[in-house]
Amino acid sequence: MMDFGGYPIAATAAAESWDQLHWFLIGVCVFFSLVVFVPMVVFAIKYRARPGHKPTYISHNNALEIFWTAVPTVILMVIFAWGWIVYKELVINAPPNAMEVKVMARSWGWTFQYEDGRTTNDLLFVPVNKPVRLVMTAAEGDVIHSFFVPNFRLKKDVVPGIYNTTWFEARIPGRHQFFCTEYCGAGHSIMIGAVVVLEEEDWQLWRWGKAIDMPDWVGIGGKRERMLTASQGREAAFQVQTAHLDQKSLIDRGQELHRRQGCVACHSSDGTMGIGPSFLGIFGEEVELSDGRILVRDENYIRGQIENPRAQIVRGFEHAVMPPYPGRLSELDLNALIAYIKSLQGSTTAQRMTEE
Amino acid sequence: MHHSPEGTTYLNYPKGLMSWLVTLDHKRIGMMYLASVLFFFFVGGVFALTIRLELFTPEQNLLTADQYNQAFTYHGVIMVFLVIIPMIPAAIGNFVLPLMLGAKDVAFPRMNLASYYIFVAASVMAVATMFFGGVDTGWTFYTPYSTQTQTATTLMLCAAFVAGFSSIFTGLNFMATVHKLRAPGQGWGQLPLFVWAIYATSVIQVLATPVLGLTLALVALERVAGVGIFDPALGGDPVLFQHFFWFYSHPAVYIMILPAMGVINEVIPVFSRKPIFGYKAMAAAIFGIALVAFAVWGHHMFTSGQTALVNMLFSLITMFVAVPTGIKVFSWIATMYKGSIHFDAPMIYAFAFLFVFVIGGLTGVVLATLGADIHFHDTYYVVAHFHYVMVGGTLFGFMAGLHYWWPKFFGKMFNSFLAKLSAVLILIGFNVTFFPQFILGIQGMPRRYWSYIPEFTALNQLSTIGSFVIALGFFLALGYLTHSFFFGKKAGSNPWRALTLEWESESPPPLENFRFDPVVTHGPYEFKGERV
Ligand code: HEC
Ligand SMILES: [Cu+2]
Ligand SMILES: [Cu+2]
Repeated sequence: MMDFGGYPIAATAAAESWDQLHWFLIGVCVFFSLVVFVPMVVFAIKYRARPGHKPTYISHNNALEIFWTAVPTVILMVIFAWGWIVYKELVINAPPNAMEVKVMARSWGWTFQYEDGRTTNDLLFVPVNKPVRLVMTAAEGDVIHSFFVPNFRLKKDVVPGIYNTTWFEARIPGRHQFFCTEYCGAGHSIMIGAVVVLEEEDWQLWRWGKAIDMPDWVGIGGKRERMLTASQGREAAFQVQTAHLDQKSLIDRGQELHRRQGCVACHSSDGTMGIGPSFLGIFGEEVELSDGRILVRDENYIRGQIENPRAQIVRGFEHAVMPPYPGRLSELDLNALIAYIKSLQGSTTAQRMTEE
Repeated sequence: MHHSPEGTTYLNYPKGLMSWLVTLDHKRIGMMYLASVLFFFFVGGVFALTIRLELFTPEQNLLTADQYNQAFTYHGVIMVFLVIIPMIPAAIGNFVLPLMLGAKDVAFPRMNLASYYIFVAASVMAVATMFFGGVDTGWTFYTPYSTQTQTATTLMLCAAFVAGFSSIFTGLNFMATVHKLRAPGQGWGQLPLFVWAIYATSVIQVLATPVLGLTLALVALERVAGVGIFDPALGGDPVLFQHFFWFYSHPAVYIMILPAMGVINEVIPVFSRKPIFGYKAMAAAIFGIALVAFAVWGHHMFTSGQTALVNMLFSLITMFVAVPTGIKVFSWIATMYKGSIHFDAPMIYAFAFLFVFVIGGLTGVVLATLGADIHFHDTYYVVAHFHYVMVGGTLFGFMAGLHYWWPKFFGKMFNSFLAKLSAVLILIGFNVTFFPQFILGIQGMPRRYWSYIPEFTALNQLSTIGSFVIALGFFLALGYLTHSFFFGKKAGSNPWRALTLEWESESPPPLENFRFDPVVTHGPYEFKGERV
């Protein structure tokens, strides 16, 4: 018998909300299909041309026409509102305490960079029941990709040159298939991998570089592996990737870059104004630019400032010059600098910095 | 006024190959478009079957990844630019529109011929790319992939750019024709709804196509001269391309579907022997759709990183496309109510259209729903949706029109039984091909995948089988239509007993369309007091 597969597993709370919306939409589709198809079939039979049957002259009916304009409009507005609510839950409402992972896509593979500075390829390791925020970009000079986890009902394009963000909180431990969903050339369909959701103990072990058992697939994704295992007559060796532990944490690395790249000459980390503004407590705050625009200093703003400072000049610094750094810093360096600037929040940090 | 000799038709007077190649007659130009479009439909169809064969198993069957990427690119480019867009307006519309207005030709016959040869030039360029390494960008030409890939993309961009002019020329011409060449007594309220639909389509063609042309020209410039507009490596913004592209290509969806709706507007009243239900609302709905079409392009970019507010607005506005679309569907059904329904081939296609188009439209609402689209975007759900609209809608509308006006085109009838059989085959094959793709989309299979995880095998195989049933249906149609062309029974001037002007002329019409001066004395659908 052919195996057509089933409805995909919902592995996050947001995915469950998505499913409710989807069942509602299926209901609407079935309902309106019937509203059209049933009369269509009934009329086709009842009013088929035959001897003695005469058509009736009817040209319009205002009440009816208003009715079938107004009722669908109302239903559409309900659909729209529900869609917006689910979108907010699915994409926007990342909790502030979310663990952050930097995602870098290249043709054709994925690199995930964690807060402690290590990286993994094509497997994203996360703890269960903990919100995870993804900050994603594609390698320099690369094309657009898209990160799609069906079990999370989650998708976001990964665009070179900008950061796109999204988030999830996985409830079911195991391996969850992910795909690249923006066409990117010959390797597009093999640019796939898994989000590995670990139980708390496993997560701690993995974090410290210990070996753990790879958890099972959840929903779609395991079949090719099982087929391989079966055809080879033994457990195929799927090694757990342990990330390099020799790396410095992202923040430490950012601090080092701040010094080594010479940013420190113009930007302090303790609130004192130099040639440029201090980095202390700026992340997430609003900034007024010389052309009057008000922006929030998020990842994209900082990135833009480093790569093309002339395009967004901070008010009050019109006469100072910041040298552009395009191409001189790698994506991983940019991640580190941003993480560092982000870490300089408020006075306690400032104190620690001045003490050092 | 010069009259063609009694007993001659546009097909045999004037005579000679040259008289066809330089003809200014809208009917001949229409038929040349028809032949070209059908040829490219065949080519695009072969690519489609190749794609489906490759997807029969998760592993490589007959194409490498690169070849597969080219196959779906050619399938898309050919079907969109060389088939679906010109299929109804330029082929059928060219023939029928002036006749419906009682005119002798379109307003600018030379421009009409120019539009055809521009179309031919564009087609030649598109086909030529196959001999210069092929194109693998997908019909959407997304940057920066399209600015970086080492294939004949530049030539293909030029082809699409050139094809745009043919579309603009046709649009301008039809608008002028509708304004200036209506028969005496034919006010705007007496226009057949097919004319309304073609008119609205022309407006979109004229307003939106230049944006696509300029955008593609910019991509070509970026490839050739390294101007940094879209490629971030050159300081450009790749998402800007998506905005420009969809600003044309969403309205283009309506360039494709409105003419099909126009055909259905003609067929349903004639075969129900009843006036179209709610003429005014129907005409208004056509323009409602055309208007809203310009403000919804962002619904293709919900996952691109567009801000939440922009996403919300595009989702909201897109919902409003469904309202006039609903009005049209409900009115078609109401037209059948208490009618006297004749099940000739055009009507069978109208039923097929309704069935498939409703599913396509409703799943469009699903995709317009912001939250829902986050999962469905760029999966097979989208592929299924737009095939339900484009194939189910436009192609079935075209087939309805082709069968409806075939007796007018060639003065011959076709085998009615075989026509219905082929319609049913195509309808069944279509649903077997594309319904499984909705399920694949729900399960998460991304589009444009050369290989897929084995979980998706069964549904893909079903889909492949369906595609060959469609092919069978079309080969059957090719058979009985060819037979009719040579040996069909004479049709007479009005075999369907329709009331629009084109049926008052002979079949096939003479060079100057009418041997008398047509005057409009009744509405296009006044089947009042008629006996069966
Ligand atoms: C020669 C001095 C100089 C150097 C070196 C320099 N900057 Fe700047 N930076 C400035 C000036 C001046 C401004 C404010 C004017 C502007 O917005 O361009 C600025 C603004 C910024 C801002 C925006 C601050 C705000 O308040 O919004 C960021 C972020 C930034 N720089 C990051 C960096 C980084 C990271 C480096 C090192 C890789 C660096 N800068 C090196 C002078 C410098
Ligand atoms: Cu990809
Ligand atoms: Cu669209």
